[in-house]
Amino acid sequence: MNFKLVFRTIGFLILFETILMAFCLIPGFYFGENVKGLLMSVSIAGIVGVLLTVVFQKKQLTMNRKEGYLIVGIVWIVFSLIGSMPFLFTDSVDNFVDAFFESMSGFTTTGATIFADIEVLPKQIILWRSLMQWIGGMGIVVLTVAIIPMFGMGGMQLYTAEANGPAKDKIHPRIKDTASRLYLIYIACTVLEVILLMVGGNSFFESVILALSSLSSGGFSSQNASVMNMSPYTQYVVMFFMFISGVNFVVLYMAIRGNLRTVAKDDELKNYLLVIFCVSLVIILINLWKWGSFDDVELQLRTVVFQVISFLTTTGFVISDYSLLPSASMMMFFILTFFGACAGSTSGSIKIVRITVLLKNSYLAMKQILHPNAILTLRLNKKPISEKVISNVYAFIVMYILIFLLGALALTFFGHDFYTAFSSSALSISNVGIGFTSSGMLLEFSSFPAASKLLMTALMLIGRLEIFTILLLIMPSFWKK
Amino acid sequence: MRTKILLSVALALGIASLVLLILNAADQKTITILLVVGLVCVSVEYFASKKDSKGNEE
Repeated sequence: MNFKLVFRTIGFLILFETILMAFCLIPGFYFGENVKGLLMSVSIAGIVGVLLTVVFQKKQLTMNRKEGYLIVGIVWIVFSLIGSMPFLFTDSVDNFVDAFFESMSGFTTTGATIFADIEVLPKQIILWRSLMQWIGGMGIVVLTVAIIPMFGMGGMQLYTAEANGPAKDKIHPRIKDTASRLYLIYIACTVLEVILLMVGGNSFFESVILALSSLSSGGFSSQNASVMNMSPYTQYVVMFFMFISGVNFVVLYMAIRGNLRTVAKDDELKNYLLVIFCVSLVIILINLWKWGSFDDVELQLRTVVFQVISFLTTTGFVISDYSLLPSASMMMFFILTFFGACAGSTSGSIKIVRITVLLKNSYLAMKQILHPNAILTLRLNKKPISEKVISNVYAFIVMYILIFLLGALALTFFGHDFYTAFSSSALSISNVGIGFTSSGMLLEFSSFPAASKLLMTALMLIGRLEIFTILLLIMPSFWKK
Repeated sequence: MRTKILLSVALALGIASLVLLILNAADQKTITILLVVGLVCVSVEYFASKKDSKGNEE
């Protein structure tokens, strides 16, 4: 293992984080806040980054698989450790666990918060929370589309390994170029959302916060009530960009390039739209059946579709008190927590492409019972999927459910009731950030014991990095020469 | 040589800002300027090394 290269790369990434952290000084100065805590964080992060880059200089820069896994695995932890400094040094939180929880929740784009009152926080901290999500979202897109497929794992393997659909066609043969094209789309979408939000009368600061949090499928808001009190126009804009955040960025690139025929053929995108449509329809029908009629049809439609997209893309914005809905509707939202949107998007959870493979394979298994001699092949985007990839999908889903259940079990040991433990485990591993308790919505976690918060940060990280990236690091064989 | 100079300057500015902050010996704007200059040095080094590696590839 070339540790010099690992530390040097992490040093460079820390410097990148430092530069973005320094941007939070702008609202600090603009709104006349005390920025000493943030300056302290920037200087410490900068010193650590420069030291790692200088001390671990090495001419040989070829990275192998194991080093790639290690960097991917630990960079999220290092980023979260450094990201927790502004919370501590500005006295926004009084202990390390809370700061680390908020930071990990940001970088993993979970959006679970320990702050009961967000509106009293300094503007620099509100921006840093959203910026962490934006960095995390950008990292995940590049990681899943350009880097993880190199190692032969993750949801995108379905595309890269099997050579089908638009996503597999790497936008450009070189990973660096692929990454820069994805960054450009990500930045362009963010700028567009900021402009559209400002057109609707939102302040520049508010628009930036919403854009950073929605496009990264993060869900941190600058208001305690999330997006509940915002105008319908703002909610529609946020809803649209949440939807965009759930689309595979390679498919998005194809759409921007005008390659609409290829985009229209993408099975995962079709299924993504189908899930939004069907689940929204079912929830509206359940609500109608329970309440008899709606006072405001547009409001009902907007509320349900927004909340469905928010859960499906694992963003976690809240448009209304969803815990007041009928139990069946709440159960639908809970199930959506495990879906996730498209592979290669900023969303977390299992991902629609894996669920599609699972369901198609189950259907074929039943068909095989009826026609024992038939040769049945699972196809995605009209191309066959190999047994190896199907087995990877099964392994992923089994591990996902197992870790979710173990997480819920462990949370009950820390004193949480059945309802809260299940919900907290699900919202962490799927990076949704919002959940349910027996008495209503589960939106903030300051009252949780420190052990629960640390466990939840571990679940967030495991879920965000698609499980195997983290599990590989704890395998003894990974560390053998 | 360039790398050493730029990163050393950045490191020195980072340490100086930290010391000034701890000692409460300078105002926020002065420390910000020091840090921004340090981060500019880092950015210049990053882009210059990127250019170098491109040149080597060619």
